[in-house]
Amino acid sequence: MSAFPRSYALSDGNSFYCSCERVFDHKLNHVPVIVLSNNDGCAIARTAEAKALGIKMGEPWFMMRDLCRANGVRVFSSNYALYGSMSNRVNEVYRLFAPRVEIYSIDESFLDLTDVAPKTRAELARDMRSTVGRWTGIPTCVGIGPTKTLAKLANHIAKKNPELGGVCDLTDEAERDRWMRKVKLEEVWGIGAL
Amino acid sequence: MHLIHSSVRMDYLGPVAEGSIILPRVATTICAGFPSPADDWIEDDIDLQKILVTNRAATFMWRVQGHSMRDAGIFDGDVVLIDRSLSPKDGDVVAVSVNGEVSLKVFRRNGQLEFANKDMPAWPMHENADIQVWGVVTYCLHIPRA
Repeated sequence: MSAFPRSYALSDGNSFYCSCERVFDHKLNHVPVIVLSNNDGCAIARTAEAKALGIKMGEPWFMMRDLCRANGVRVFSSNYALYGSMSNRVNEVYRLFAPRVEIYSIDESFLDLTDVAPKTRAELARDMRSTVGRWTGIPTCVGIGPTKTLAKLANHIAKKNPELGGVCDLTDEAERDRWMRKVKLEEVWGIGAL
Repeated sequence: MHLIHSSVRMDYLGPVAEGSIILPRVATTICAGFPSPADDWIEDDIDLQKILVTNRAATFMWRVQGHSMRDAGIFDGDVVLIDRSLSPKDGDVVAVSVNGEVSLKVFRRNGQLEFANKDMPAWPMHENADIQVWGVVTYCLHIPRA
């Protein structure tokens, strides 16, 4: 039994498939990059630069081909062997920071941080984030909360607010209330369409 | 064609597999009858994986193309293991990304980077180049056979 209330972190790779490509080719670092689904059907990963061009998640390739050519978007077919390998590395680093890691998808994992003293959780998350970045080259965001849903929400807030430095801790009730007032209901995991 | 004045080119090969590459340290034969007098001195087999890879999550294998690292014992076609978790020290061979192109250089304490080939002119480090250390070379696998 832990002396602290339950706490989870949700850590995920930013534009994960695109970030995997960027690890091996730094020329991709400041240009828009997208990765297409199997058989080059539609966009399944977009960097911030690609999102800024208005490329939507799941947008069919034939509909955005001209836009991509006109804006110098670097387009990749998916390379799951590479993404799976990078995902393993990232999770291997997570396991050094948390005793229980639940792999939720290729780029998202829940970490049980219950045993970590509440005041040091954000610091641990920042340390983990910089270690993942240095060792694997993958940029991540970490959200911390008393439930998995709130951890996911914290992760969403960390992503949308760069001034947080990629880490958002919502275990504190006052802090949680402050942030939740700014979030639309349908942005919460499991609520609204898709 | 390889341009002798250019940096080595690097191709990423893949991650290092989990598991072990075990080589027996001593060859023993089974003998019926008298117990082997060597039994008390048997040591564990050598696990090459453990020797070559200390941090699997951060270790990447690349193939080297080119001759600019010859004097550091890294030749065209060799495979190098690169550990991204290490901080480079003076004299280390590092993989660097120069304007997005990954190559090998010798790292110097003052941040200078050098070729390791005395037949080549000094590597021209451009002031405005975007240079990032990608990782530190920990091992070089060279096939000496003709």
